[in-house]
Amino acid sequence: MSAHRFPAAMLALVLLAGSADAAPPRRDVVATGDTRADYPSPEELAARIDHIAADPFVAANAAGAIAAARASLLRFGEARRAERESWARATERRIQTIQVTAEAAQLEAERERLQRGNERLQLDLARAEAARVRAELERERLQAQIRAEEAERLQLAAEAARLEGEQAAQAADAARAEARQAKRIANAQARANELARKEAELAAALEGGSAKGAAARTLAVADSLFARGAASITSAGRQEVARLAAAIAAEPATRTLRIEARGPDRELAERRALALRDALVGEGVAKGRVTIDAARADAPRLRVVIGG
Amino acid sequence: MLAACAPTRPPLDELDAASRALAIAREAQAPQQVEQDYRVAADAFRRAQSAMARAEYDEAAAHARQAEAHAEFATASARVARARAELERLRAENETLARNLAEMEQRP
Repeated sequence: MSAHRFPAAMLALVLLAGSADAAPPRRDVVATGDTRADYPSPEELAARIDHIAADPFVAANAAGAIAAARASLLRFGEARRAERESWARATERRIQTIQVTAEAAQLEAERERLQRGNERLQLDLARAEAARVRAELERERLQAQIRAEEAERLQLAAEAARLEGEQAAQAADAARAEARQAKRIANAQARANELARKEAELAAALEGGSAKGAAARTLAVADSLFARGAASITSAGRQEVARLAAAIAAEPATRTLRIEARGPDRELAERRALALRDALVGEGVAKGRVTIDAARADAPRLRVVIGG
Repeated sequence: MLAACAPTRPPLDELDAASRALAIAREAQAPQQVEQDYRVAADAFRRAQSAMARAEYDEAAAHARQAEAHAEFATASARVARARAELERLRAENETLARNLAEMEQRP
């Protein structure tokens, strides 16, 4: 079947020429010589059929209708007078049927074209939908994978943090143990020093005489040690005490120490001497070495006499 | 001028042919698709039948011929109407499908 389009203009023309209700009046001389006819002649109808059937598309797609019209035309040509008009009308109607049949064939060809297009679109749509679903699934799969990796990362980080915490705790324990050890060592060292010192004292005491023969040494005590009229050591006086203690420590530990205190107030002088003694004892001086010598005198004086 | 003087016979064949043509038109959905055209054919057939009842055989034959030809015309017209309706349906559907496809291709 050819896809030749039936010319719309041709269709309109022939449809106008052969409309059902208003056949154009024609003055024809029919074969019998009848001049009354107001319907087309067989010759004219034959010409119409030939003209329409010349169109290849019509010839191919309305062959049956063309044959029916020609058969009707034949009956028209053979009809007796009383039947002629009805045969003419019937043939005209059949010629119109040729055109309508051709039009139907054309529309059906167009419909087939659209049907194929429809199927193509359905297929493309189905493919696009499938692709979208695949893409969606892929996205979900990737997201699930990312979430799994993230969870694993967090777990590893938590594990590492836990290990770090353990290691830090262990390090702290080790440091504390070290500190205790150092403290034990320091204590032992201190005891050893103390023993050595006592040993030295004893040794010096045994040697005794050489120590007695040494000259006495006098340490003057600064006035800043006590506040005016007081027997408590000032904060500045603490340094003075330390100085005295260091000087005393430079001497053999067995040498006696005599704190000599003079002043207009004998009682104040005695209290000051005692305070100085206690301060020196606090600095590590052995209390048994120290004697107090407090007396009244016009001029205030405070000094430590070593070995005298 | 001599008129044809063959005795007219009852146009049974013509009526039969017209009746068959109308049946074919009905099968082609002509009463629904092209009501006017079918009615012309059906009216012609009724006139043929009524003429038959009055023994007006020439008249009956004439109407029967018209009925047959017009029934054929109605059948072809119904075919056109059906094809046109399907064409419209497909055009609209294709438009919708093309639009859906374009939308889907825009959203990745």
